[in-house]
Amino acid sequence: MADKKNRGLVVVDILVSCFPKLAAKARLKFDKVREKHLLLLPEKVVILNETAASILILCDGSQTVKGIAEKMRDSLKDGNNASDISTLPDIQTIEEDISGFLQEMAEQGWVVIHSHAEDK
Amino acid sequence: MAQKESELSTADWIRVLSEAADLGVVEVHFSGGEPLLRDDLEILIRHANSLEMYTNLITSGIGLTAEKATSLKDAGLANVQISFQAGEAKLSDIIGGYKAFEKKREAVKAVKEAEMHLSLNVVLHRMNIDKLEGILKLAEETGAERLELANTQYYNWALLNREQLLPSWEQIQRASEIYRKAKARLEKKMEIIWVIPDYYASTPKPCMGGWAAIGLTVAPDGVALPCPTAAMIKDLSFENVRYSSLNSIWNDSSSFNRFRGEEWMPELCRSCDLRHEDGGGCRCQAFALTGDSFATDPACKWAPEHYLIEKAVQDANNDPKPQNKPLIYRRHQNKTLLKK
Repeated sequence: MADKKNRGLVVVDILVSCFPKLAAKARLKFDKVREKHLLLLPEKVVILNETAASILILCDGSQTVKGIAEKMRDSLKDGNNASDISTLPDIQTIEEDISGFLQEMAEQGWVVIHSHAEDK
Repeated sequence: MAQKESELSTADWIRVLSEAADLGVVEVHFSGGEPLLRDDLEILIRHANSLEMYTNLITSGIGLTAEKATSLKDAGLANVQISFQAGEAKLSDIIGGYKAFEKKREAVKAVKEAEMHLSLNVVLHRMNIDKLEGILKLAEETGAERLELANTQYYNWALLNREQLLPSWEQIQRASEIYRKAKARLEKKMEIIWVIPDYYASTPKPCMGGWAAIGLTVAPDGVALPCPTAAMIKDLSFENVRYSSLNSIWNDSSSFNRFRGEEWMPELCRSCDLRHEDGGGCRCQAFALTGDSFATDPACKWAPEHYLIEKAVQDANNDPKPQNKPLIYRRHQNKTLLKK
């Protein structure tokens, strides 16, 4: 168990300073007809939930996972009443969740993880 | 093949694309014939892209120069699928019927240099299925991200050439083993799709995810079809987007509604537990083999006409050598480009 946890942390450490970017073949779209966020790929359409879509929109290659986690936390704050802020997960938990999600996306080939910011 | 004069105009296609987007279409395949022959392809891709539709170009690759690839990418093209007939020039050109292999390789290079997603599509049959390793090698060398290995299905032209094209069971098994190993080895690098011929499956496939269920085709002349081959069903008439909106064709036309749901099914299918999975099978195949578009797809092992499939499979396995009969080509009909 401890071993697993450690391995998990290593992955997170690598990822938070990295710059995720949506793969060139992928397109994000909000489909007005179905009222769903979609990830469009060659011969494949993935239906995204609200959170997944919000994260992927931020994956433009110019911001780190850490930066994305902060933005996600800010938007969670905005969506809650001041009194609920104490119930929000801490930033480290958010970073871990987002890293895990992006890891999965990268394994599918839908997100590319760069170690440097993209030159614009 | 539609004559050029009878093809939809640019304005028609723009309208059709907009109507499709309104209907909820999110992915477009520009196919043909050969879509690169249209001067307005870039305009149409740009329009589809502005409607946030995912754009795919399905092409032979002929005419896809580096310059063209770059301009299509700038218009928003996301994925290019290029067809190959084999992994090397000689066999590829024999099967294709003209010298195309080197031009296809140039097209592939152009797509990669423009940094678009590259898919290769190879239709497999008796003449190339034993050369699968060469095809995989080609796909790897070109840096393709997706490879579709689709065994021929026998409707139109393929049905006429079935004797020469249908592989033996042994060939299919050998090839599927090569596919399995390649899939495991290339897992991260390339997505490989493998489709066996219906003739060797014991149950039919839910063609196109069901009749007029998830997609539609608009032919160059504007005829709207539930699938690209449906025009071969002669007892059905299809509407044209010149005269009806895509919305009314999709929702209200008799052709699109003909095989939706279960009402139309023969009793055999209606009482079968698999009807939700295969929807009675492929309507084109049913029509091609039985002359009745309402029949259970003969690929189904319980279909009354399944013996037709069994007979063809038997023939393919009794004589494992290529036939002497020449191939019938779509364009150069009766020209014998393949002789052994």
